[in-house]
Amino acid sequence: MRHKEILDTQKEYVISMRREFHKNPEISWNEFRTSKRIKEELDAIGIPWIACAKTGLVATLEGEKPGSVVALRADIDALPVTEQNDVPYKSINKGVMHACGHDGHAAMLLGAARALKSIRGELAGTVKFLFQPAEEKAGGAKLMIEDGALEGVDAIMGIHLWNDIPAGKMNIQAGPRMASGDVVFIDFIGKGGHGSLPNQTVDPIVVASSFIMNSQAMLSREKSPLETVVFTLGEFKAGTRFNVIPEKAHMEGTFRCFSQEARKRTGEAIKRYAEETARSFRAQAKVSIVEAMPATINDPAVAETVKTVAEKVVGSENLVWQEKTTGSEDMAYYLQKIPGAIAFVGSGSSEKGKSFPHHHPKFDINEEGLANGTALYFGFAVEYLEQNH
Amino acid sequence: MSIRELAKEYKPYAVKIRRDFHMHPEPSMKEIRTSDRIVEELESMGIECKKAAGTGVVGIVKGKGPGKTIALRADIDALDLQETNDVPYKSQNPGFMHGCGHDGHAAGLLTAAKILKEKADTFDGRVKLLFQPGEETAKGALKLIEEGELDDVDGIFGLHLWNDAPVGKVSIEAGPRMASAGIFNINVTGKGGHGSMPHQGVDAVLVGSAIVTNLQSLVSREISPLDPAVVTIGIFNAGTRFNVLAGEAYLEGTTRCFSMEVNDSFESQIQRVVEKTAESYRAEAVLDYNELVLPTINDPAMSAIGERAVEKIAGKDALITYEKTTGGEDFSFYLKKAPGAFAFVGTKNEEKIPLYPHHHPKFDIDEDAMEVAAALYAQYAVDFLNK
Repeated sequence: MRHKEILDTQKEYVISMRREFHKNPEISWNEFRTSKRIKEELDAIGIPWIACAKTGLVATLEGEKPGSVVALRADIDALPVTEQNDVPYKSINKGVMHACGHDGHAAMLLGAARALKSIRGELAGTVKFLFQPAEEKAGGAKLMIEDGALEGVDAIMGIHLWNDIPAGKMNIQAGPRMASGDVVFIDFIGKGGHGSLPNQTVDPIVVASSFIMNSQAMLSREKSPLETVVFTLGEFKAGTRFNVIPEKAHMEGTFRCFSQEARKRTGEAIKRYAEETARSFRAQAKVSIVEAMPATINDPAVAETVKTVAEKVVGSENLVWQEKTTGSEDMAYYLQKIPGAIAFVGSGSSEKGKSFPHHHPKFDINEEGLANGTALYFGFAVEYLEQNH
Repeated sequence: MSIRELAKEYKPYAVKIRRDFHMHPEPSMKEIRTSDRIVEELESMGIECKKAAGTGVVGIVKGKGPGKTIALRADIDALDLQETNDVPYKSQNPGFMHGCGHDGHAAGLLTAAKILKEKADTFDGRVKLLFQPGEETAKGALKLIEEGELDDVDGIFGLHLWNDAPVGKVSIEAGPRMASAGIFNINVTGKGGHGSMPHQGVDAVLVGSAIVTNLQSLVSREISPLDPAVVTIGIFNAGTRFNVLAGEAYLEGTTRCFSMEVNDSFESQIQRVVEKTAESYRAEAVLDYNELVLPTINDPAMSAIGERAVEKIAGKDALITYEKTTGGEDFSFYLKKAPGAFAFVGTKNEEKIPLYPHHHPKFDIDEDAMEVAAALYAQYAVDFLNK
């Protein structure tokens, strides 16, 4: 019960830190004030830190006894959204808002750091706290890894506050949780000319349209019906005038997968459909795939440990099942390197339909969820180090 | 003197007037100086005339007695084009140029008026001279029709100086000569959403693409293989971001054909494909279709008169056949009101004038064609009225 008491004393602290971060949001790679405040808090707690990934940092708490190394990760950046909430802790930075709950992530991790520091004598091993910048830009985790944040780390856990789950409940499952999200740029190069003489041209609008139609079969015919793949072309731009056939058609899109294998196969299929469709019209396709986020896949063993802790925090009756989502999360980069898991901690209103979705200008979290997230960070570090001693 | 001889005598006049117009080009429906000059010239010939369709001019040459009325049409507008020719009669209006030969049409018809005035005792009826503004924007012919200028006309003849045919040659075959031109736009409304959740939205990019590909079968399957037809989508704009499902798509395009039947069916065919394709994807699509010009189709009897006239003014060898073109002409609107014929009068002579296509900043003509054009206008009128 001593742990519960220690955690209880963090509740007010976490809420006040969350509100401070909420009031002072900073967009990806600009989390200067945020990281400065985190450093100040860590100094006050007495946990050493080093700067990492420009505006991020890694704090290290060594237990009394040797053991494994476990990492807890919180992302700290905000979004370019203008807040429409009328709350005392409303954003004071115009056009920037914590509309995804990262304010809560940072605050919970600070609360967990305070609690873990106070039981340092019991810890066999090391806890690393990863305060990561620029999750929304998908570059933060990558740079953290490049800067050595995972060196010597055996396992990692991250939390996302989730408004689709009411506060008081949690979700933790093994396997794919969030999709990969790669970006596709395609230019179909035909031959321009007058709209009244199509025979003298190669019409890239017809080529591009055919590609879009043809590539639907990739989803309906090529992959297993049991497998989830999304392919969306969000932009199609071509032409300047009704009676001129343009030289090229430009499109941009994204594809989402839940395994590295599917990701590779889908990228190749998109290229094949684009290039062969273009060839069938005597046109040319220039396909460029910019790899963004991999799929977020929870390690079964780590997920099991998180689940054990989650049952202690909210009770097994409050663990909910949730379908994987086609959104992306850069936690995926860590999970590509070492075993780990991401948990979704409920921050939704208990009244149905009252919560606004993530990224909405009226997004807000139910702060009752913060204590559960703090306890989950704390409990996972303790449990993992005990299990892997 | 015969019409042929008079045309030869007045050739210096035709060239002088053509160069005057060439130096002072004016955009469509703003042919202020041009129409003033035409009125001046007609009045000095003693031909009754008035302004019409804004900056157009209508003149009447009366014959010796009552009879039919033949309309002769010349378009008079220039293009917004910067001339790059280095000639003494180069455009004086920066950004505007007679890059299509309408300067020659106007001068040719003025010269024909001079000839007809002199030969007025050789025909009955009236010759109505239509100096039409705004051909390039397809507004002038409709405006003249709207003002009733075609109501008392029994037949109409027009010509185009043509750089793709040799100077001294004329094509005036029966049947389709120039294409229709339709302009349309399509607004597709789906339902936006996140690119990772396509099932929650209705993807307007996909629907737009389906419309483009489905439209291809109008030409390949629905319209007779013997009827040339073109459906082109020139603009496809949709979406704002790679990972946002586009809720709307905008398409714009054009149609071309050579028969009234195909022309009349385009709108309903495209509408069916557009609307039903969109519906099949749970989206909505609205077509806005407008006819810019109709197909220019020569009446066989009116063509025959033209062919005989060409033989008289330039000899049998002057008649050539020339494949119809996918360009459009608002002369086509007159053909709905009265039987008529449209001739291509050759201006190509690479030994004298470097060859550039119509609408090119270096476009120019062999002015020997002015004599042919003037004679043909006049001969056509006399032969029609005396028939």
